[in-house]
Amino acid sequence: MRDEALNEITCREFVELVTEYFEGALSARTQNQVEEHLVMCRWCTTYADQMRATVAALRALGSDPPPGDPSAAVLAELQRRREGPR
Amino acid sequence: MSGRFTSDRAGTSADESIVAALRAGDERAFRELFTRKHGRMKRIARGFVTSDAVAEEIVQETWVAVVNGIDRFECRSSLDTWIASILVNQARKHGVRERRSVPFCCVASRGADGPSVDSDQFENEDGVWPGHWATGPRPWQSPERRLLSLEARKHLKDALEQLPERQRIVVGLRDVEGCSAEEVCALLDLSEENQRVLLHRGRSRLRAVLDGYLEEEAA
Amino acid sequence: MIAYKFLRSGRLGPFSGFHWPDAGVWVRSGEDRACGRAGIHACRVRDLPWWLADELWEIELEGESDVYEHKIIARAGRLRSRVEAWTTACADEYAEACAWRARERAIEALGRAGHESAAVRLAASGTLKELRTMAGHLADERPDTRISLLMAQDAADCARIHAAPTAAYIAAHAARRIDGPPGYDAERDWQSSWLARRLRLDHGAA
Repeated sequence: MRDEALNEITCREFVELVTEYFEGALSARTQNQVEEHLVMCRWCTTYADQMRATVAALRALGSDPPPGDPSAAVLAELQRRREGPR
Repeated sequence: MSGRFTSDRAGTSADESIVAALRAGDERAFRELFTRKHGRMKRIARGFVTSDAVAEEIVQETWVAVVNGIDRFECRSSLDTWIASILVNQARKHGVRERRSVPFCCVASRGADGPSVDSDQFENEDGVWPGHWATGPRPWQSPERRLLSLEARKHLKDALEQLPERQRIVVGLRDVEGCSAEEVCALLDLSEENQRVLLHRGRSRLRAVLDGYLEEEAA
Repeated sequence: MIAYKFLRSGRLGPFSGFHWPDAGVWVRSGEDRACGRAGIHACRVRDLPWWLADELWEIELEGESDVYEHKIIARAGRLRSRVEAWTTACADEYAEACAWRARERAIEALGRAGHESAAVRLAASGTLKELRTMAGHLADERPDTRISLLMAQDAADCARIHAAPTAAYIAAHAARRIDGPPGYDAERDWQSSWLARRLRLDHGAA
């Protein structure tokens, strides 16, 4: 439960805010609360590190497999253009 | 990684020379473009359908549409963006054919998917620290190295495939392909918030999967 | 305006990862987004307890600034000098001081509940290890004061693992448990005074 009087967030709230935090989509006030929380909460800092590592691992999946050949239909259209209107 | 999609930028002079080459039927220029962009296009298409073969079909159909329609392209957006929008349309058509596909705009309201972390990991109201971790996450040891192994990559790919469709596509575009939030919102006709919700849910599930994998692997 | 800034080792922004240049070199927001959203983040003496990290620097701020509850955000800043007295040893000393403060709150809770002999036993603990053990025992024996006792135990544990910001957080909440929100504020004030005194910080600064 957020303690409104203290303007603090809990760990349960942090794990739901973490993506917005990375995206820079939080209000200034909430971003401050998140950062104050991370200073004092090693577990949430670990959780944030794990989310970053997950994103980095996803990025590493994006390597290019070798392409096949263009289809006959495309090559035919290109040839038609080269030959020009008859 | 090459061939990054860009959004809403008018065509550059590089775009103009490629477009001119395609209009003239320049096969060499086409093959360069094809090779440069193929892998990324296939991965994006793969996010929409259930098989590699269908994804390949979508990419090939996209190229046919690009070359056939190149005379109509006016360089108002970048060439990348234009090709991407054709690709997404083709992919969606196939996705709809394969199964009932709910429009992206119909994202379930926040929280309907359940919390990102099981509630029992946090202290309840009787605890000393309600809402704080009861058992916190354990740091991953050397994640940069361990997550690059073939086995870990396969595990992550499988987990990505198993995400609900919309999460899979958004995570694929944002995190695997490196598209910006703006690009993804434009391609998929999503609000910023909906895009973020899908990204968050997808990433949260994948983090949990990797956590389980790394713990098992270390044991 | 002179204020303070905590950085990770190597002059790294704790959240942005921004690598601060040498002292004396101005950093202006807008020129480098990596230096932190919406400007240069800094704190006043009263804000220090919320932002502990490896290095503490004096920072000179320039231009308009926005004041938030526990920080200032300015348009430009440059590091002036490092507060050399802020070391890991000092952080440990601070954490331990906070743990003993949490113990005082637990002793008070026991006294208010009429458990005088338990309060005496807790007061007799001389080391953090003794504190955490005794607080744990008493939490089982005196469940009506369990929360205050477990807070003291948690604070001792945090001090033992060098988690100064967490020990400080716990002490503030332990005070809040006894004296409500004013207790929390008073505890945080005590913490910033401790830091200012121990580190000989300039009260002419922000």
